Amino acid sequence: MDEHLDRLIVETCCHPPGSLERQWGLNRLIGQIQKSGKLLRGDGVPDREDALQQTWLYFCRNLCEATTGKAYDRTRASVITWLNAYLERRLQDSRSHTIAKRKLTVEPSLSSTGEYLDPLEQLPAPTQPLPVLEEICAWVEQERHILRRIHVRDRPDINCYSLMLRRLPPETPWEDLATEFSVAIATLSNFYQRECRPRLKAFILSQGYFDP
Amino acid sequence: MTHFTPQQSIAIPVSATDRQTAEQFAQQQLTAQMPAPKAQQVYLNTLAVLSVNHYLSMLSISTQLEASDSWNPADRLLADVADLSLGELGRLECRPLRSGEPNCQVPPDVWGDRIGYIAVELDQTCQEARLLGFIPTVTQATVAVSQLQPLEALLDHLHHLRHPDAVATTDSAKLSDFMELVQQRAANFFGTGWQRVEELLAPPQQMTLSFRHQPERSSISPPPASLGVCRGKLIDLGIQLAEQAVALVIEFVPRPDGSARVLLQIHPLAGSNVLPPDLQLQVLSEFGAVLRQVQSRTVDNYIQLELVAEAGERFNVRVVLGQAEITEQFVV
Repeated sequence: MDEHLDRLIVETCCHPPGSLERQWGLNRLIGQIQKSGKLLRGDGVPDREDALQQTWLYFCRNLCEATTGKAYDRTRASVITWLNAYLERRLQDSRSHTIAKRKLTVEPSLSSTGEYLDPLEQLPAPTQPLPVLEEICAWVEQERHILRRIHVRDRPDINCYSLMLRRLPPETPWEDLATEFSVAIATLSNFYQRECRPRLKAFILSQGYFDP
Repeated sequence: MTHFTPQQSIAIPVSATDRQTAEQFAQQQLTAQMPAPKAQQVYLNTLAVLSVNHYLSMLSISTQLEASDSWNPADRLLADVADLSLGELGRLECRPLRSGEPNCQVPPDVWGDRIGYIAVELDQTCQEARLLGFIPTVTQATVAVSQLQPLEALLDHLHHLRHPDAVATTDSAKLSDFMELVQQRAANFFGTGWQRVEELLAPPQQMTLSFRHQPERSSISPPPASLGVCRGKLIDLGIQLAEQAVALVIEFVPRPDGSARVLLQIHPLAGSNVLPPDLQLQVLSEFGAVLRQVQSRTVDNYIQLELVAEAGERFNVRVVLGQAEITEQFVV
């Protein structure tokens, strides 16, 4: 394994940074190191994923030449030992950082039975509802005379007004609209992306709904 | 470097900061009184984009996250977008799926102006994103994970977009030399018995052969339409396929260093839109080991494999249906 990785490293590093061959090599090395399962797992360390992210970046930047740290030296340690040493330091940072800052709130939640919960189920409920959607619909109604005039060629029935109302959430599926209008999904979607979305976007931005 | 290794995915760790960003974006949808599925869609899309951004940054491929539609709250509200802007090159779409799902959903919202699609599998706790593979173009809302090309193909694709072929297109004499070389190498690669694809397939099927994305914007010196050569052959698997003949179609794209990219596809012929189920397409080493394979399902229009082979490398392509099989040999 080590010998195989070694060969791959030599091959990867003989190509210049940013070259396609270098990218291929790094991609393959990452995959193989991950598959070996020999990297520290850091179980129980809060946000160990952040430590891992930093480690992979460090790997890519310093494997062949020193960029953000010392370059890897094959004669001193195996690549996995080298990576684990860096990862261990980052995990240590994360442990002490957590004690200082108590950033535990962003860890995945556990259910009462000790199973991890899907973050999608944990999305917070709306706090202060804004009637953005209703205002957008009201604007579409108000502008309907203009919006109706912008339509798919030879198909005045497929116009900005009719599509906007149907595609604002809860949106009618593209498949249903395509059947209803007897046109290809791509025709509808292209028209929507080209003519409807930019107009709606301009209105939304002009109202400052998402301003910080 | 030989790229015949089995398809490998890459795991990208998803940090707490990433999840916070996703949660914040999802929250905006909730305050806009969007139904819950919209907020979930935004959450997953955001993580998919961030994961691909981490991956590209690891490989020193520059991105412009903040110029992406997925980073604009109005676009997130108006469409199902998970794009990552690569500046001049265009937008790469990062489609999320959950662990174990066999397909990746690609909504019509993003069929148009993308330079490619990358499938990102998020685990149950959204702490790990697995980059499963890449596909340069889509024409339907569902892409099976088994149809994805390896990440190397993505790197290759981006490289070709950045350098509209390593050949100096400014020097037309040099280009025509290279084109001649391409034709020569293709002739050697295919040997006899191969037809032009137009002669073999009905026109609509040729559409699916656009595996090399041609940028639509006009570059300073336009690259030739394609530096690859595409040929097809009728595959006769005897009585089993008496009513449903298939064609093996190969696009051969030689590269200046002597290696080549090879795209293999099996298409149904005459009168049928779908392949017989359980038809296998395999790539074997010179010595008969199966290196890659793909199998048709009940309603596949075509199946495909892509590989990169070194100069002089030998491989075999085998098509199997039940007891019948046919093998073709190739040398790059």
